[in-house]
Amino acid sequence: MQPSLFDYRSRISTVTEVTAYIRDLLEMDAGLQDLWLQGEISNWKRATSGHVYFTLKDAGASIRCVIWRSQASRLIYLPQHEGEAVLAHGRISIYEAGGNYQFYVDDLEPAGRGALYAQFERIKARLAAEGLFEPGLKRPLPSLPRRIGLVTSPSGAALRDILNVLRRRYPLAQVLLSPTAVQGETASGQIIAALQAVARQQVDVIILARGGGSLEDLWAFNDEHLARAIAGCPIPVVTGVGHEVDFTIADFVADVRAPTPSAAAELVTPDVFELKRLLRDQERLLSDTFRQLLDRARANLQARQWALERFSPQVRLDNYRQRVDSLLNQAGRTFQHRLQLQRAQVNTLAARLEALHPQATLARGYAIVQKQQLVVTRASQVNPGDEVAIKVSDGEFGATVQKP
Amino acid sequence: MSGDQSSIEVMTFEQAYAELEETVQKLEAGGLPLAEAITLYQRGMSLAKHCGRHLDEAELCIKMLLPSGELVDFDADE
Repeated sequence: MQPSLFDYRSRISTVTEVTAYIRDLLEMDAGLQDLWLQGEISNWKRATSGHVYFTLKDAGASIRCVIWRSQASRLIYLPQHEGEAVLAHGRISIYEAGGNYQFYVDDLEPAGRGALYAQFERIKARLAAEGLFEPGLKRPLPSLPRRIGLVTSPSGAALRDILNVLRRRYPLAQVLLSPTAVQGETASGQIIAALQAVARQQVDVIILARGGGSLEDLWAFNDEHLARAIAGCPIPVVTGVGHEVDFTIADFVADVRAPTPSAAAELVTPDVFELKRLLRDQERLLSDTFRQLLDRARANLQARQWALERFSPQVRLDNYRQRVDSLLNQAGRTFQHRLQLQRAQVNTLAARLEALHPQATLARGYAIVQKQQLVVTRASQVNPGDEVAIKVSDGEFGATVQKP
Repeated sequence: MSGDQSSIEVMTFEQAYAELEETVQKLEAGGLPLAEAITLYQRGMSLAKHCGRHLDEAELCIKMLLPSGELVDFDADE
């Protein structure tokens, strides 16, 4: 059991002791040491020391607050007037010398921000439920935009960044700047008007851009009417709003969301160097295709020429000539054959003739009688006393005819 | 094939590039009379040259749309 300090019968405490005890009690409570507190500012005072003192209050209560100089110098937001609603972060402890508990603040935001976040989520949820963010609604961007609509402030850094990127990547494009305010009460209405005006100018794609800023600065891009205008825009819309971490409703409904204005400019354009490469490819393809076509035509022609030659009269003539040659050949061979045959017959006859030669008869003992070179075959051819020549097988001799 | 040689000069890069792609496809598809293929090829080469000139000479043109709907030159350096 915890001993009670207030058991005065056993112990009497000092003011310091009890204050320290209360401080311990407060500081042991995790909830009180990491606390977001909403309230209205009152009695805002910056001391010469640099520390800031004020009171946060609502209808029912008030708490004294302090921001140490070191923290105060880091605050990006300072309340502008008495009664301003703020959201403060810090811890609760005791200012022992003053005997009062205080809220030691280390961060301060306008209270409206919470409301803005809530509104952002409400709009986002409603439009999502209506299907405005459906991936199926996203239109493809043209690969070679001729005219680029640009909805942004004519004096902002976003415009400068975008033009730089376009000059470098795709100077072929024509840029149509539709100027508008991009922050403030009337900005969203102006943006819608600028968007719709440029969409009527036959642009191929629209960039909706704004440089970085606070949630409040970018708020115009969370406008529900603007979201519907983007969804209803007949031209594809690319958003480049704020920095990479900033998401707006316009980003969700756009056809493409780029993290920054420069990135949006890159997204809508091809790189001119890439284009030159593509162009070279097309040129090569054209030449190759044409050469192949010519080669094919030439091959076709060659084939036809061959076919033609095969059926030409010259070929037929040559064919006939060859046939004549072969016939002649054949005839020659036949003729030779017959010649040989006849030669053989002649030889046979010659042999037979040979057999009939008178010499052979003479050899058998016959003689040939000749009178004055004439062969005597009858007795009446000669008279007694005629000189005749008698031829026998190995020679001849003379004789005189006697009386018969 | 639309237009004659001289009409290429007034073509935008996008038009010329689109026709160049179309020309290549036509040639690739084949089945063309030779004379037509030669004409196509020559036109394709002219288109490619025209595109190249565009890329080399292009300078970003910036106009501002006035509430009246009028377009005026916009000087980005101002």
